[in-house]
Amino acid sequence: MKKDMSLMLQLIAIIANNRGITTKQLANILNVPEGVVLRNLELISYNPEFRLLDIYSEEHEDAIMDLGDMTWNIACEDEEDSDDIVYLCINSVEKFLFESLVANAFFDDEILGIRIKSTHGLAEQKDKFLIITLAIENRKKLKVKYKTRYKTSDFLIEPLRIVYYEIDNMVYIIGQHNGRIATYRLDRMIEIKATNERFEPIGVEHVESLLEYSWGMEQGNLFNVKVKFLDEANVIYKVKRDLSHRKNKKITEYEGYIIYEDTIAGINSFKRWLRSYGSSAIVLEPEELRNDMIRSAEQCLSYYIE
Amino acid sequence: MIYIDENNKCCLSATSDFLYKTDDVNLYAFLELSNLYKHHLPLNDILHSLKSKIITQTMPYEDEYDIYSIGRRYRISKHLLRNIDEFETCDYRRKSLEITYNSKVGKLSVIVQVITLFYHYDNDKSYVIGKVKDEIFFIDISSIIEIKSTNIRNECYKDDNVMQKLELMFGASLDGPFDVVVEFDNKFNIMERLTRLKRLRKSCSLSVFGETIIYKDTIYGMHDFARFLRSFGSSCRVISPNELKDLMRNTYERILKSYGVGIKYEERHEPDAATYSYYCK
Repeated sequence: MKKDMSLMLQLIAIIANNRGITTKQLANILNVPEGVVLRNLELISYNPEFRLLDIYSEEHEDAIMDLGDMTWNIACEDEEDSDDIVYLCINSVEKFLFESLVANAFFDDEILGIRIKSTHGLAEQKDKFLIITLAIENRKKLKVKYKTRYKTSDFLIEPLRIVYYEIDNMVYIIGQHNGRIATYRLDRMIEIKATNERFEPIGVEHVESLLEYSWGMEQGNLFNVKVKFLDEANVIYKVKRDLSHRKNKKITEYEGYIIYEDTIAGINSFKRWLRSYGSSAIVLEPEELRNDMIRSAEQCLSYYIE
Repeated sequence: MIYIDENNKCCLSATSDFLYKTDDVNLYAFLELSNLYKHHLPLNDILHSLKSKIITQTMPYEDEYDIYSIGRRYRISKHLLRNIDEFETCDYRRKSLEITYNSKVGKLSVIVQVITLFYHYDNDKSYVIGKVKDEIFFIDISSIIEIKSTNIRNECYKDDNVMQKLELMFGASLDGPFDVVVEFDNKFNIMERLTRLKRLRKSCSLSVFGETIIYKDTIYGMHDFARFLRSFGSSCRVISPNELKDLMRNTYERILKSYGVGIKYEERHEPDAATYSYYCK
């Protein structure tokens, strides 16, 4: 759709959704001069389908009108339930995107007629977000029913931040417990209730530090790691993409390989990520991680030796 | 249509085709859900530009969630959206298309009956999956040079047989099918990870035998499955098929070689009696 046409259609949609809107208001919303608004409405009138006549402000019918005060209205065919109706000026791709999202089909199976081979159940969790967001903003504790592998417990959490970890498709709540940072998984919170009990949040820098170093959302000791990735198939592209969020990473490119250096917390999640690269990833440092990867590969190989 | 009503007010009839009609419930559902899809998700660019367009047109009140997002970057939008418009214009659901694309052997033109468009999340790549004569082709959308409509009917759109195969794909490949049996240690969060996988794969089954979990499935795309299995390290063992066992063995031999470690052949894992009898059913 050409830009000029798009503005014209946007105007129609805005008028349709905001009855009695003035030219000045239209110009404000679209951030264009009033003259542009009027010119576009005039262009609409050139279309033989449309008929555009003089328009008067309801409040100042007798006065000489400023063009900017002209009010615009819409009459809908289905006037009875018109308050609930919303008109959008969107193209066909956007229409499908809108419908896919609203139908919760987004990421579940299909979008725009495209099959997506991965499910993201974020929509299932959406009801929890508002209650947690309000608790974070108002510094109020939440009472949660939390399910772990072995039991379900009720306790209070002091939420500081909602974090979405895309690689595992998990949502976490970072909170505090006895003055220390704690991480909770949203999918394990089977019930969340707001309370009126207030808490004093610890410094934001603690949360930032956790997010800066942790691999996945795992906490623990810090490790300086150095890994060589071989330039084969699309390994380098994937590694760089996986590392795009790491703030302290250092990637050095060489002929045929790259070296990735970083400081991380969460060695188990890191190992899991490394293993998915098979023989294309070689740990150089620390030595204990390198040895661990070797031991693990030896153990795995032993399963397949006849 | 714009017209003047009996009160001399300029009116606009909003029943034209170019306006999409929805309601408040859907509008707020869209805004709420689009809040969840942050920049580390595919198609987020177009989604958020759509969101700001809708906000301009409707001026709703909305709650914002402050969600910190950690993850990969997606480059999908540009190629995919450019081509979707072209596919739509060519009426790909009803007509075969002539697609010119860059293949490994150079520029190729093929007449394709499009079965579906497919987005592979982990690779951040989108494909046209279609029939070229009797073969199923995967064409990387980013490699497409030109799309032309033809007068040949597309009789394969959403073909049931192919769609069933796509359900069984582990990545973006139709090599197979393979009936796989894998034994996992039932420790840490392994059961939970497998349960999450089961939600995506209706074809798989999970059974617990004491300290082990048996995963059975029918898959296409053995290399993608092997990659997934490797992330479990020594907590998983392929029981069958032999092709997958060989693939795993070769990978671990290459890993040890890359670390400069000689290969030891003295150990061998054997499943316990109960598990073994289950495999043999």
